[in-house]
Amino acid sequence: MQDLQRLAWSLVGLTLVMTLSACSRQPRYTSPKLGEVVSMQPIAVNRLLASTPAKRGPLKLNIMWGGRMLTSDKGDTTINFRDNAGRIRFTKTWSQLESAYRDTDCSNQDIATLDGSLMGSALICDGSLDLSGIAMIEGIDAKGEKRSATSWAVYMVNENVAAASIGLY
Amino acid sequence: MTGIWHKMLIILLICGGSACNKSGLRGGTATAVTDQPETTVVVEEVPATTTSAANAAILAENINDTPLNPSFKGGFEAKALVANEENHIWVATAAGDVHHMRLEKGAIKSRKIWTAATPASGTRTYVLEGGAVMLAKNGGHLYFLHDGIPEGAIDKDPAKGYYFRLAGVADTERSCIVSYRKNGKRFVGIGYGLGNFVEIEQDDKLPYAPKFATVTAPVKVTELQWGYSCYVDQVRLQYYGQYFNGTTAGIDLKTMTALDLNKAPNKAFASTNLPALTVGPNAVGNGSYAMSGDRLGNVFNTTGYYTLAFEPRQAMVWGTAGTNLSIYPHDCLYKTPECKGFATYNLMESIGAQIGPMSALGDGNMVGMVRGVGDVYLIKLKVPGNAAQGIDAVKIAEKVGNGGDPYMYTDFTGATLYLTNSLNEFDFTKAGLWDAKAPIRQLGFTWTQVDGTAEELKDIKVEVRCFSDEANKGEFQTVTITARPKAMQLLDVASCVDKITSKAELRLTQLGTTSTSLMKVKQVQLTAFQ
Repeated sequence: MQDLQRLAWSLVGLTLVMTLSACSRQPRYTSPKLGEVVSMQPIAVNRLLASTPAKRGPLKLNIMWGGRMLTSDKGDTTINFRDNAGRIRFTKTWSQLESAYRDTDCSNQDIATLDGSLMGSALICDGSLDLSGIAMIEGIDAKGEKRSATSWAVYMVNENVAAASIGLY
Repeated sequence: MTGIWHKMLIILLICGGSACNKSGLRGGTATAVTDQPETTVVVEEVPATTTSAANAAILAENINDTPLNPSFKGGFEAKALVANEENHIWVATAAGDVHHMRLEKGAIKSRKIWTAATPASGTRTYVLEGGAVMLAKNGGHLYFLHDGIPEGAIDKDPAKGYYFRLAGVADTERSCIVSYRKNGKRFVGIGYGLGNFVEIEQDDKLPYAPKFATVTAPVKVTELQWGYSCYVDQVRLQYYGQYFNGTTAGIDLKTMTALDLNKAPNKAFASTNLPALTVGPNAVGNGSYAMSGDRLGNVFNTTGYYTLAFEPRQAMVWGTAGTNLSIYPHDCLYKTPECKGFATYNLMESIGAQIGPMSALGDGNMVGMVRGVGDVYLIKLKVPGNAAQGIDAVKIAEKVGNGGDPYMYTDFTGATLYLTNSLNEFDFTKAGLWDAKAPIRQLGFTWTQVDGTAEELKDIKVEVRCFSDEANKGEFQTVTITARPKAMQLLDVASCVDKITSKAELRLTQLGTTSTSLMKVKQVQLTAFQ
């Protein structure tokens, strides 16, 4: 009888571990090898319908952007995050974002190329920036040249993480 | 325990009885057929009811002027032409690199590389008929590239004919370039500034080089800013342009006057369940990074997407937005208010990429380019025509232009806009009353033309073949079409007539260099009489 109980508890434990493991699964952000075929399944079809992600407190958004027009090699770039009224909610410098990137476990070198030059793109994948209520993002480089984000798309990375794709073009 | 056995016994009895009952029904039918005269057997197989409402509905899809007899035996299918152009993949990056890749069996078989297409910003592209490309960069710097031009740094000596600077475009101003055929000639057309439009005539033979010296004085049709995004309906000769987040304005290229945007078929279309698919030329919100369209004249312009790319072979529209990729049945963007059968894929999770530029190849594959990185993917539906059953993606090129940000607009493969070759497959079991055991007695061909165009198939080579083995389809047979639109012409094709087969292919090829007739073909139909 005790053996049966041990077996039952083991099964419960295993189930819990598997469930927690599934719940905490993170996006892979991996780039396949040349020629490797990657099969994908669709996400829930109503994702695109959601104009705003599900309310789970403040949005914790990842950021990915093309780095063109904002060169960091001649000085730091300031990124202003403005709300609907045009007020600056918070400001980050390019170097802060680079640092934030380095503190994450992003492993994709393609995405990780954050040189702020014509070839750059970046992913801040720690979800540490709260972009709820942010309506516009602008970058001001060391020479004072200002660029506004001209594309902005909110999407779901997984069930729990919303993300914003921002293009500064 | 006894109760359980009783219940199982009852279930078994019900199942067994049910099975016996089904078997009995089948047997009953067989008996009835056996008991009837042979002529009655035919009636059993083709019940009288099928010639009424249901059959009439099926036959209504037939595009013949003379409806098929309700007692018609055989099958037919009508289709819009599907482009069968050679696959080109052009990638122009912000850094000034330009790559031209050709595919063979899903892998790159050749690649040409040019550099120094300056300045860096504002690249707009258009793949010309024949596979060359035109680039328009900030400040009106125009480049014409094809495989016959030496690789490496582009020679900007205007005398070489690869480079030209369009006057009147400010250094930081974009211009949006297209190409089209008009009055028997080919033109490059460019919209820029506040509603300015110029034309440059192209040579009349491959690679259809632009004759820069023929550039016209600008025609001004609007005060709205152009140059960011544009789309040309080559059949109707209508150019649409906008600046980012701006209002769309158009020019009628036949008259060079302002275009009534209401002429776009999907101008008033509204999606009831996917607001993002209300995508007429002046859709609410505007803002499509790269406007696009289809061969029906619909314009796809929507907020939040890099582009919506039409894939004609499986009648799907692929949309890239952020790191998502959505695939919609074509009719969701112009005909069916409640969209069904669409699906969205998260590319970031699967391939760590944000794909922006996307364009169809002629075979159902899509080409997608990763923004900011320059990787190039081939993507296809696992189940053709079904968006929700998964997709396969394969990376075919990495860090094009040393990892440049690719800037490609609308159709960068040249496979979906121009139409010089088409290939359609017909399945005779789709409509009509098909007998899988009976041979085809006669094969009929019918076509319809785009409204308002000539009623003759001129300068078009028409080839047909029927087949049963997908792996060995046999040779095409050339036939001559003299029939006017909607009239049926019988074709004597050896692989079809007197053969037991339910599939056929029709290949149309444009002959001559200036005719435009293939683009005026709206639908084609093959009818197999048994």
